[in-house]
Amino acid sequence: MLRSSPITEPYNRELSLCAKEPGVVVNYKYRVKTVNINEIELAFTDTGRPKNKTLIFLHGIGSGIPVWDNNIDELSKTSRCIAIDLPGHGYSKKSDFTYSMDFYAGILNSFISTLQLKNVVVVGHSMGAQIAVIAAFLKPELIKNLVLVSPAGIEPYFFHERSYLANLMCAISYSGLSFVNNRLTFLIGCCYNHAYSDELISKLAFYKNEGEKFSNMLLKSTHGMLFEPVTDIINKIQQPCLVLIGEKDKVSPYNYLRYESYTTLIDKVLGNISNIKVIRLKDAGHFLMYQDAALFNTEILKYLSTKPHSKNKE
Amino acid sequence: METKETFFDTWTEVNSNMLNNWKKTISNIKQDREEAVNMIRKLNKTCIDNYNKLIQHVWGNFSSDKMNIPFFSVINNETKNPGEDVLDRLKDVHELLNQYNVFTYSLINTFINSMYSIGPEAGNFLSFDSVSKKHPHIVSRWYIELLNTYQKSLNPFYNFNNYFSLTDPRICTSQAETINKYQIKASRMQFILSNTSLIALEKLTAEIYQRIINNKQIPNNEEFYNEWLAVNEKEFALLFHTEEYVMLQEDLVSLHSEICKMNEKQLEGFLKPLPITLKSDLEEIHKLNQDLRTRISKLENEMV
Repeated sequence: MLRSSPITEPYNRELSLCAKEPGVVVNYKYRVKTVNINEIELAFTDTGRPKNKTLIFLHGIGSGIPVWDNNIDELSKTSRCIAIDLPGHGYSKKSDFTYSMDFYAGILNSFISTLQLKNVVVVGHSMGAQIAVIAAFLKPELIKNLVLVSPAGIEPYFFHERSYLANLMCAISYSGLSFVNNRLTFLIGCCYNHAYSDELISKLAFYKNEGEKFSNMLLKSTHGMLFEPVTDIINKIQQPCLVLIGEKDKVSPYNYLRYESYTTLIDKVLGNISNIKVIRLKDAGHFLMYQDAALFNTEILKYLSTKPHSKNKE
Repeated sequence: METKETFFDTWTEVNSNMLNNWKKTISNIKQDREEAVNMIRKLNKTCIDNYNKLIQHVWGNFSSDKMNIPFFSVINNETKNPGEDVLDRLKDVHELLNQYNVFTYSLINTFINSMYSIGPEAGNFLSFDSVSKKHPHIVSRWYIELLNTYQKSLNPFYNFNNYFSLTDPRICTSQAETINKYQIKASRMQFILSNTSLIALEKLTAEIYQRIINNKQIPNNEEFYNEWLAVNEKEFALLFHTEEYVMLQEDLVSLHSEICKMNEKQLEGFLKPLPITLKSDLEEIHKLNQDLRTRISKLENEMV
């Protein structure tokens, strides 16, 4: 009864898999340093001019420092750029942590205090943006500005929808599909462009022998993203905030659970808040900073050079 | 076949059984090679059986009416040991269910009778569009009959006389065609996904079996799990690289959104005569509200 069109031949190029063979060294574009934060070894890269503004880049779930490869070169001409591998990712410590949003936010704030960073602008992507909002809410004195790229945790899901998504991730983890799920996210996030998603995936440092830890991290982080949303606190953030979204972003489950698109939702929820500026990039998806890097960098530079409007009007 | 609450329950159970079997196997075998080979054979069979059960569960739900059973069992339990209030409430529910059954029955009959006149092409996953082009008069009559059935059957519920009007058959055809397209694509997607996971599973068991035959070290539970993830990733990555997969995924997302909008529109049309606020009304108000807020925010910024 099924339409029997054959599966077409794969593209003639080597497959990039999320899980690398153990021992294979994945070289990051910039030199990786490590620092001990709350007894967790955290990997980060540090480039640019130390005296100017400090941009801290936070990647999303199942991702890593290399997602910022197309941005740091340009932005480090005017600012100091620090990109972090979150715990459980890349070259940072992978262990049985809680992986809640509070846990990640605590790590970020401790990182800023330990390195005694001033004039901090946190640039967070997806889950990284959710972490940035929580961190800025908890310790407003540490973070001066926020740049949220395709932020997660904004969607006003019902409880049963959150439970369904958590259940789904549980099923994915139990079915040996954690790496598969991550790969699919990159493919959809790059608007089904194999070249971009393969390139990005090949730069990530996840290994075959760390599958169990990776599944654990994915499951707990998803749980955190779903049950620690920022819908209530994003209105209370005092810092000026730039939100960048791609109009072709189909990664958020909101696109599937409701028929409304994620971009429309962001406009609705964040468009009215006085200290938040929303910019939509027309031809980009979830990984807009990688796919549409030139436009992305221009928008950030423009934003950093103007005096942003904060809620505090002293 | 045992029926679970959701597909994911079965999925989780099947896979956790597989992992537990593996744990049990490696704790039992110790150093005996022959015993290990037998256990692996058994495990292999269990894995395939479990996956068949899983797939049967997925397909079974398409035509099964078992989803309604919990609802009816609640009603039956309540009627066995009733309080007076419960009985009163249930009288209405029973009446509603009876009416609804009559309505569904007559609707299905109308549908089947009309389909007879289309001939053997009906129900054969044939494009709805081509049927309406080949037999326009039959399709039009079918719409009219369906409409009459709706009209007649819904009257006891809502007391609407001649409320429904005949929609342009072309619109109905295009809507039916959209749903038809979605079903075909979704079936294909489900098929290629389950097929890929079966291929991965077979490769994994063959690999593990070969490793034990060659008298290498037996992988522990963690190694087995990691291997499982890696094999799956490799197979699915191949699938993701096919044009068919990418096209299907994109089509399904856009068709799904189209169908949702369609349903919303139909529901709003149905609710229009009732004294309630509709979603589209609220959206207009929201848009106005948003415009005003943006203007205020802009003026505030200018003042600063």
